[in-house]
Amino acid sequence: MRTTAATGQAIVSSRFWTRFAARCSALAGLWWILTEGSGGWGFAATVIPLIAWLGLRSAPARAHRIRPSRLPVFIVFFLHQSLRAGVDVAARTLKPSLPLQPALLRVPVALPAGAPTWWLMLIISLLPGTLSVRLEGRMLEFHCLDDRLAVERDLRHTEARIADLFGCDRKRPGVSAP
Amino acid sequence: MADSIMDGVRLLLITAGVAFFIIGSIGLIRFPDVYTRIHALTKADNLGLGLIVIGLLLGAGSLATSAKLVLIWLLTLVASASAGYLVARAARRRGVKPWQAKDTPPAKGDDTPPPQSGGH
Amino acid sequence: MTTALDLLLLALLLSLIVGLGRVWRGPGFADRMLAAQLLGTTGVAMLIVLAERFAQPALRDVALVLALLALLAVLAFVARVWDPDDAVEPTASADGAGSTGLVGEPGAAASGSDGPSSGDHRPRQSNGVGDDHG
Repeated sequence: MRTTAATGQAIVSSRFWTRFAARCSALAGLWWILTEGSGGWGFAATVIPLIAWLGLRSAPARAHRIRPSRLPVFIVFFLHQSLRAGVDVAARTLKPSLPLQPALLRVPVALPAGAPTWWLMLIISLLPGTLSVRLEGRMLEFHCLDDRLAVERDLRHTEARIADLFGCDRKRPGVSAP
Repeated sequence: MADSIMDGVRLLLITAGVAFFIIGSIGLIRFPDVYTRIHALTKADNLGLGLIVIGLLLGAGSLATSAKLVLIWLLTLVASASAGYLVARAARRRGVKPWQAKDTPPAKGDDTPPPQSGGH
Repeated sequence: MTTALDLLLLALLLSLIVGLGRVWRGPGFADRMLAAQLLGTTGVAMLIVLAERFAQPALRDVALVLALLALLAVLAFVARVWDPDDAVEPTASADGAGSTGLVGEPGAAASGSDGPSSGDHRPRQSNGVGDDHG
């Protein structure tokens, strides 16, 4: 009994120190960027471990975390979509006929609540033709510039990308409880 | 020689970025309601800023400076997407109705929720 | 390179002025609020180009701060001026609710947390500004 408890304790504390180290390196990277590599490391070395420790102690564990290994794929996806979105809206602006057919649409969100849903809402605002308007329960209401576009397909695709990034499940759309 | 080519590429990217800013502002003037204007502002300006950032970091002296430019872009992306969402939500709660194209059928009632789009 | 950057800065300034034309004309209050977003993004673009043009790295820090402040401006606007929840919320009722005991369920008190902060006694009419200025 005592040994299992002890190993459990050891596992918890080793996880704590791993996360502590990860957070320290992230903060050190941020410091390096903000100072543009011009130094001040004496100050940074005192403050960074303190902030990392306080942060880990006070913040509750997050339910959904980004998997760093999936980040490159996601960045490529995002950059490609941003380019499409900018070109799409620019083309509409410059055409004399101003081809717009806006609509408000509602779709059920298949991603779990929390960070994945927030990512979805922010990212679809930067995607071609869609803009988050509000979230009611699990229904997302969004504005689209042109309802002839395949906005819902794009949205489901984005959901799949975010689910992959966070490593979380998706409920199938339409099956959610009333 | 190589330097002047690099300078040319950078100027091209930054000019393209500035062009997107101008188009975003034109969209702000031309688009018919607040929702469509948010589309124009967030998407065009963020692509414009991205192009400017790429153009600038091609000639940035240090890796840290490049990283900072990327950080500025990311922060602006998040800020802009959040701001657009907040203004759109506030407008929706206030009952500002989205503009509709003339040839589309008008909404049935004033306060009916928008139609649920067909699921697959 | 520097001449070209100068011209591009002028073009950015021009686009800012064109965009501000929309803010000037409105007509809705939300259209005016887009000014913060426009000034934020265009301002950030101008600052990072200026930092390059005049070799002033500190201007990039200004750009970071501007991006944050633009978001704060929108947040403050939405939370305090334009959100209808504020307009519906009865003012200064939250302070007395705890003392009666019968009315003041903790949950009920918490649900009103979106209301205006204490000490903010704007006239009610100011909530409805804007929609019909046109």
